[in-house]
Amino acid sequence: MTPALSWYLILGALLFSAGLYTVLARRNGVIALMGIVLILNSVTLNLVAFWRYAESASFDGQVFAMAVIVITIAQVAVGLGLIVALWRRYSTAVLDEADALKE
Amino acid sequence: MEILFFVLGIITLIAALLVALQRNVRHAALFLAISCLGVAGLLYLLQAPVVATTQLVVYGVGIAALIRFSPRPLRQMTRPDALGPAPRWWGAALVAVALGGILIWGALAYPGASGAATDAHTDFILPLIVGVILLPLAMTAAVRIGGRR
Repeated sequence: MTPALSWYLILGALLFSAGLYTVLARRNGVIALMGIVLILNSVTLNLVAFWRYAESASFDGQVFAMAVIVITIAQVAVGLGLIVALWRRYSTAVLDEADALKE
Repeated sequence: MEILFFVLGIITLIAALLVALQRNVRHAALFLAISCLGVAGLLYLLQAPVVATTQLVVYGVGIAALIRFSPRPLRQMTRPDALGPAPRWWGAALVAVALGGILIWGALAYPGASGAATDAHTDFILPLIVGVILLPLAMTAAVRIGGRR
């Protein structure tokens, strides 16, 4: 028996919540980036589930999901680049300490 | 099929929660890889093998390679982290639970939303593809920023 669409959406919502908590609660920049990856994983799951259950003849949902994966990797690359730059300049990866714009 | 869904779903969720709670950054990355592999399994269940394989290769192999062959600053950053969660972690937990609750309520209250979601695909596909083409520029910028001393 195939699981209903709502089960995938609920799983996506729980995954999104876990990612959101990681982004908001963790101070290490690398772990915060991992939280963003979790959030975008839930987006990928939802997009493909919508595509599958709408029984679309085209592959739009999968194209969207592939685009989200590429966007995720690009933002992780940009984020890691920024965190490496932060580390080189201030010797820290703690996001709370990156407050130069406040001054 | 249903049993496989629940097994993969539980593995994915537990690994995601361990990413949020883990202090050791390398262990967190390992759990992130497990969570991503779980999502790839769910994508196979949804009969989207191309997306699932992309997910498997990009995340599973990518994260492992990142941790194993990471540059020196990143290796230093991924030492066990003495920092726990932020002082106001309960606020983050509250926001996450509230938003998750709203999403679950939406999934259960509006079962016909899938039609609207798939209709949106065709309208926005072109700008999205343009965005994907522009993304290598962002990656180039990341390399430039990261390489600057």
